[in-house]
Amino acid sequence: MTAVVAQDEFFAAAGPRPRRVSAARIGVYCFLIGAALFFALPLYVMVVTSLKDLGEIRLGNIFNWPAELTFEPWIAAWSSACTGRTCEGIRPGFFNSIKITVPSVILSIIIAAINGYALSFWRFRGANFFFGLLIFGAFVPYQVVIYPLIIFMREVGLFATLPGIIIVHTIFGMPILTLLYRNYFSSLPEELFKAARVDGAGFWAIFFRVVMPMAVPISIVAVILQVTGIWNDFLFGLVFAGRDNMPMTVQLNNIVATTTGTRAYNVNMSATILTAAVPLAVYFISGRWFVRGIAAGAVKG
Amino acid sequence: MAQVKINKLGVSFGALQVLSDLDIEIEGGEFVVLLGPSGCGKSTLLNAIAGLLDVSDGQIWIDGRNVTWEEPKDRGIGMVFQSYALYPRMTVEGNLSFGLKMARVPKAEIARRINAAAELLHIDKLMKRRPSELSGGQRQRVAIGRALVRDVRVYLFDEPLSNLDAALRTELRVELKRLHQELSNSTMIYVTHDQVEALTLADRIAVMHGGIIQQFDKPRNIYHRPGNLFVAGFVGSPKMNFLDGRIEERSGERAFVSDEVTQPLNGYAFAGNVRSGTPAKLGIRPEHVRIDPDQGMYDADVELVEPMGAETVVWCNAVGHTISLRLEGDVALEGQKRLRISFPGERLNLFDAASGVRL
Repeated sequence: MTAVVAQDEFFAAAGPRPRRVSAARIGVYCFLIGAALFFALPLYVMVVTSLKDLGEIRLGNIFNWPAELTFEPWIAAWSSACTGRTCEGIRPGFFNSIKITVPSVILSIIIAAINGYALSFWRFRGANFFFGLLIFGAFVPYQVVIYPLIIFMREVGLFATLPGIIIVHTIFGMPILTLLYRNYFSSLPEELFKAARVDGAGFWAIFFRVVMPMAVPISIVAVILQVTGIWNDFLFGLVFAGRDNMPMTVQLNNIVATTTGTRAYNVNMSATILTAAVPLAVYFISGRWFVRGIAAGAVKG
Repeated sequence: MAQVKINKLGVSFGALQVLSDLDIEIEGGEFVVLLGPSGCGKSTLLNAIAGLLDVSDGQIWIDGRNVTWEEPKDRGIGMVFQSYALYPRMTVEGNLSFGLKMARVPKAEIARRINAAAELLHIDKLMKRRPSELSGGQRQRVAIGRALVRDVRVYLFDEPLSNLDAALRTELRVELKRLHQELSNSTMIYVTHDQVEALTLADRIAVMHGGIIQQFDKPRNIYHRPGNLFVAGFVGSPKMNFLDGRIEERSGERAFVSDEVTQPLNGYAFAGNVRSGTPAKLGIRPEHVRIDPDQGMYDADVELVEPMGAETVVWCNAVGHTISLRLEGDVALEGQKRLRISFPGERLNLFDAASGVRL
């Protein structure tokens, strides 16, 4: 019997091989769908909770779709939720976070790109030692350097100021970003650099006209890493930003921690989603690049 | 006419001394090929001439100027690289004009030079394209064009054809030779490990090995009168056949003697005086081994026949060695298991067994 089938196939086989659904494949899909649901569930709970009023939340059916849709919690979270004595919502934090993130990202990327360029093309004496030192910095726990850094910032008069927190983010982004750029530039052919030197381009001309135009992909990765990293930062914001520049994450914590009477779960959920919206948007818009960024930054995780 | 003169050049990477005490003098308008196996220092020498490497010793003179401490752009050189090294984010036009813009050449002059180079290299229709939209041959043409527009006297080529397929390589090789004839007053220094390129292109070839120039001579002499064992073994494919033995003088006639052969040396032009009993190596190129059914001196058992179209290479077992013969393309050897061969004296190469120097 099987011999007959095999022979039929032997003569019939032509063109593309027919696709068959095997048990293993079904298993793989089941597992993947299950895993996706598992990770999506908390987000679902957050979204539905943020759309319910407090009375409905008290019933405790956290998985239920809201009986009556309300956007009040979102508005409250944005503009009127209380943090301590002020009741302005999370809005000031959002703008503070932008004021911190945008300059920090730009500054750290420019410096890191120049670092990586100098380290991979202009092999100065001690370049490897310098690079090693910089990479070592990536493995020093933040907590260890916070206190000395506070003292330093106080002494130069930048503690609890916007430039202060920007400098801190720039410094702490430096090891991983330099590594990123150096490794990327090292993969570019050295002959390109030699050709530019024969053509008479100097340090800056090669950087701006030859190297940076080729560094667009890695720069996108760097922007993603830095935007998500700095936006999600809580510790540095809390310590270095100062009362007037509290980033959104700190503001969120204050909102969640401030309770007057009952805990407003729906407002807390809305505020959390609003805070996470920027990194989430970055993930969704640039998924492909983000995976690359994770792969490139795998050393640090 | 730009002469290139290297005096006692030394280059080292850390503790590794790649070149030391190297002298070479290249005439203006000459096409010189630096030939050697990988790691012989030929690319290092070229990069040192270009100014892309710091030298640890010696001087480099180009066109009567000591350029040892000058930047690459001030040396009056143009360079073409193996990987083309075109700026990927610029169009062909951008690539060609980049160096001129850096040197602040007036716009009209840039346009004139680009057009001249594009026409010479047949790339005038590609000016608006990016390098990624070009084929390998077109890319290398653009790379050559980028060197040409610099309007210099010395052009350096670092294995420019090695990344191309065989047919394109032959085509561009011919074009390079034509280019050198058209730009008759420009000096070209060309690095390659491909001996066919070296033999066809060069006015003179410098064969390098271990950081030392083994022989600097016309292609004809490199091939037919190799100066030492390394050159003899490196140039030519299949390799020259070698036998070990010694030179002996018998009744006024000198001969090469080993356990298997006694080869008379009449017709061989000795480079100097050779004492009887000197240990020596005898070399003969595959195409110089003669099949001689009547007066052949040695028996050769045919092991393998490689028909290559234009020629046939026959591998035989003779005089205790594997000997290769290069014959006509349509030679008929079917059924011939044993040949009689001889080594014509005027075609032999003799080297001192100890020093490797030609005798």
